[in-house]
Amino acid sequence: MKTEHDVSREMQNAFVDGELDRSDWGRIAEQLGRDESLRAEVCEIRTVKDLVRGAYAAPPQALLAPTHPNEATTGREFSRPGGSLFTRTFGARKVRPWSNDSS
Amino acid sequence: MRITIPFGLPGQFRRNLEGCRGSLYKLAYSWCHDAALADDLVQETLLRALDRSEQLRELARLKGWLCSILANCLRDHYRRVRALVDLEELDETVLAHDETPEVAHTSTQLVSRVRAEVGRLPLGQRQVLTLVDLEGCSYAEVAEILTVPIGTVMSRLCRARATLKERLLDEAPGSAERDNANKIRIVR
Repeated sequence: MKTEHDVSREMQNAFVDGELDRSDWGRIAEQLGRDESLRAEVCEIRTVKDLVRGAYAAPPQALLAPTHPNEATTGREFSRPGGSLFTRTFGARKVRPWSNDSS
Repeated sequence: MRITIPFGLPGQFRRNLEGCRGSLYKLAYSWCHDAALADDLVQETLLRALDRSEQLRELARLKGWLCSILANCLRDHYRRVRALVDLEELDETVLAHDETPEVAHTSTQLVSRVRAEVGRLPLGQRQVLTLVDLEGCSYAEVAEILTVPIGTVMSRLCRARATLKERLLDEAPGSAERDNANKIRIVR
């Protein structure tokens, strides 16, 4: 798509992220109203931003398992995703597919 | 690894640390794409935060402070596992990702595909991108967290989004239709 405006990519990103001061924001907003190519580019940035946010809205959680009995727990602990109550009671240890620790 | 909160810490600080766990994990996962490692990094981050709680002057700066610790934890991790790698080059290094782009392309799940492409970005770009998009950090905050100039933040963000746009929008089936949709989309 032919670019006819003089708004840099950095400025477009700053516009989408709300990083511009009032005068710069107003200048770009005014150009958006009359420049189709700028409008499309800004929309693409906004779309990418939304895709990234959506991709990590619910990241997979680590598997948790009881800690070794020797790992005595005292005091209060941080809860952990996917195992807060369990963790508070017993502590936590990750289960790794390569782990062969049965001690 | 367990974390025990020492008694005597201000309750507000403790509650705020606990409240940040979810967003820290999300951020850590977006950086390493390894759930177990992300969990370890968050645990380590919270431990360090407890050890250095006196360094935090204002509770309002907690989020950025924790993100900074998390970034250091990740660097320390790579320092341990990649002792021979020049850390100065790490920010520009593309790290391995479990899911190859080829696999992602065949996947019908958009989330998997986006994660795969984010995973292909150099770490420095990935960190800037996710701090801005997931954490809602300002450019100034990102510059402080990653200890880089604000111009570097802007250029890395620009390159990251341009790459994702090229790989996710331009190459995607139906991009022509989306292009048309963009033309009529109203930008606030």
